Amino acid sequence: MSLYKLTLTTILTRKTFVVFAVLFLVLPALLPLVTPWEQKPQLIEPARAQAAWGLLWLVALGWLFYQAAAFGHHWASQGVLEYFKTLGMSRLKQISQIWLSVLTLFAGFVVMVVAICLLFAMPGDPDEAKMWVATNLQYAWLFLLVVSPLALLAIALGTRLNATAAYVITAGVAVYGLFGIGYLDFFLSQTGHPFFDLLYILSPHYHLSDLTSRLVYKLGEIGTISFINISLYLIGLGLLTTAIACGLYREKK
Amino acid sequence: MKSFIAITAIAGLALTVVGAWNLKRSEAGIRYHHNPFALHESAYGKLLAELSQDTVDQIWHIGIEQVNPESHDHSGDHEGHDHGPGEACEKADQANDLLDSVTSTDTAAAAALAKVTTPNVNDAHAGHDHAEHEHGHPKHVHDEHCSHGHADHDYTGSFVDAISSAKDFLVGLKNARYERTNPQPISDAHKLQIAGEIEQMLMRSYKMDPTNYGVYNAYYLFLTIHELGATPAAILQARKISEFTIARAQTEKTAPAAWLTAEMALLNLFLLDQQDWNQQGIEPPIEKLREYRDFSAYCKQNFAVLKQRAIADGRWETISQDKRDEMDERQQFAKKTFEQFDVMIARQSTKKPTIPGLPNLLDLPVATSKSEDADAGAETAK
Repeated sequence: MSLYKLTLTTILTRKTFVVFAVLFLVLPALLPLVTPWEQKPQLIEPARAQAAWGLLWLVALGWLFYQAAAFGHHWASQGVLEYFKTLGMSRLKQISQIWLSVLTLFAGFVVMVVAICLLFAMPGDPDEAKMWVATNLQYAWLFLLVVSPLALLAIALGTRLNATAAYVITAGVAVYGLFGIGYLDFFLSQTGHPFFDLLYILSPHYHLSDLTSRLVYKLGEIGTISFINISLYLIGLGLLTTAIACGLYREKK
Repeated sequence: MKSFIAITAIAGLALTVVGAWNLKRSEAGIRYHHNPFALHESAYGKLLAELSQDTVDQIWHIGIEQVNPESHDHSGDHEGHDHGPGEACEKADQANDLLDSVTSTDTAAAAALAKVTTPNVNDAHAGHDHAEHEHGHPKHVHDEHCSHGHADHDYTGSFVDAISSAKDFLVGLKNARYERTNPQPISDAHKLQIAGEIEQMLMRSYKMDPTNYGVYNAYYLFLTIHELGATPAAILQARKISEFTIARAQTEKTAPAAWLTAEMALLNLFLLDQQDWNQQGIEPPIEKLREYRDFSAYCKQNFAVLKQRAIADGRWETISQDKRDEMDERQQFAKKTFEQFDVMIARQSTKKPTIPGLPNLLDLPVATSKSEDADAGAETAK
């Protein structure tokens, strides 16, 4: 049995993903009804998309990274990785297979979210509908560019540290890139100190992948050039994270 | 593996630099958007704004008056806010006096304008014995959302009352953590810090839904009449949020309430202008009065159209009765208030035009009782 199959089977056996699958089906339908939509029913559809994408971020931050970190930790401490090493499986292949298995089910959630947005929140206007589809696809692409390398980092850290520590570090980096930079931005605007400028430039700008506002306010898709630049930037960050993750990965603790 | 890591790192670094450099040169750049998950003004933002109103009410009554959000009772033994149940709230009256002075050119309008600044305080809820507070404009009705000094609650034993009782008990426990037992007055630095926290909270709620009357008005009042507010910067901010609320309402093509909020914001802008005119000792320019009156009519018209559309679509009935009553009351009030503008315009129109820089001789007897500047002008004329 390959490491990919072993990890995926373990995830399937645990069945935690079923809880999230149900939440993805229920929350985008129910949460918008809790809002004061009565005066403006047009709020409901964007609210569905917002709930679906928000939930996806939460699942990534709370579940995906922990799964990845836990597999890294357990497989390394139980000798599974060493066993596969004796079978001639390289480090790169090992980490790729764990990563793929962790992302397989999660990719299903991404597809589910895009489907919810396209089926239950599609704008009536044909032009807006085209933009809506494009924005959702862009969002899914940028989201995966952020989340996938971080999952790899969580696995690698898991093979070095325990699962909780690996998870906290990965989630911390993600939260910093998504929200923490806002505080740094505040300091920048207050002080303009070169140190904060440098820190700002070196920080991972994961917030670039959060296109929820483009969906909720129907801003339309990102322009091609900006989209390419954001993709280049996030691919670059992803490659750097991959390099760090591969450097950190060990078969045995 | 090592060569893979090296190639990946170099390629990653190169792409990151290229992408960031290009983004930096672009218009949007890589600056943080400060609106994670697009909460502001979204359906969930509106929900949070509505939910925050109880907190805003509490802050208004406890925080702004005493500048201490957590330590407040009605026993009458704390500095600056010492009224017992049923007595008038001194600070609120001061605020009311300020508004009265701002609108003192027309008594009827002053009374009406003072009333408009009432924050959204769940008037629809049944109050208990505090309901007679003569706050003038902030007619604070203590209800189940109020978390302070509820010794007089008479719980009838129903499940809902039991829940309220339990909630009050827990909130009371929470408040005890912050209750000030030190008899020394609160320091200025602490006051400033608390005021800053309150402002942040009000601003956050405002950002969630700038067209929500409750959160807009609470923030506006905080900026303009709070004892640590009303600085030139705060007044400028009050002006900005009023203009922003109007601008946001102008984009509204479905929800009628936004246009009522815009009308109230317009009235607030008039109050600020009025303050400036009073300081300069001049009468409100007739063109400005007409501008305000016409824009108010435009807001009213839009509200009426959107309301009719909501009724026709069957949406109006889905809005809660409390909210509908609130809107109707506000609409009536706005109508009565802006009728005063016609009176003011008519009065201004009957006056003979003056040469700029020179007093109008016909106005001298009236002007002498109005301002010192006019007094000086009258002396010169004599």
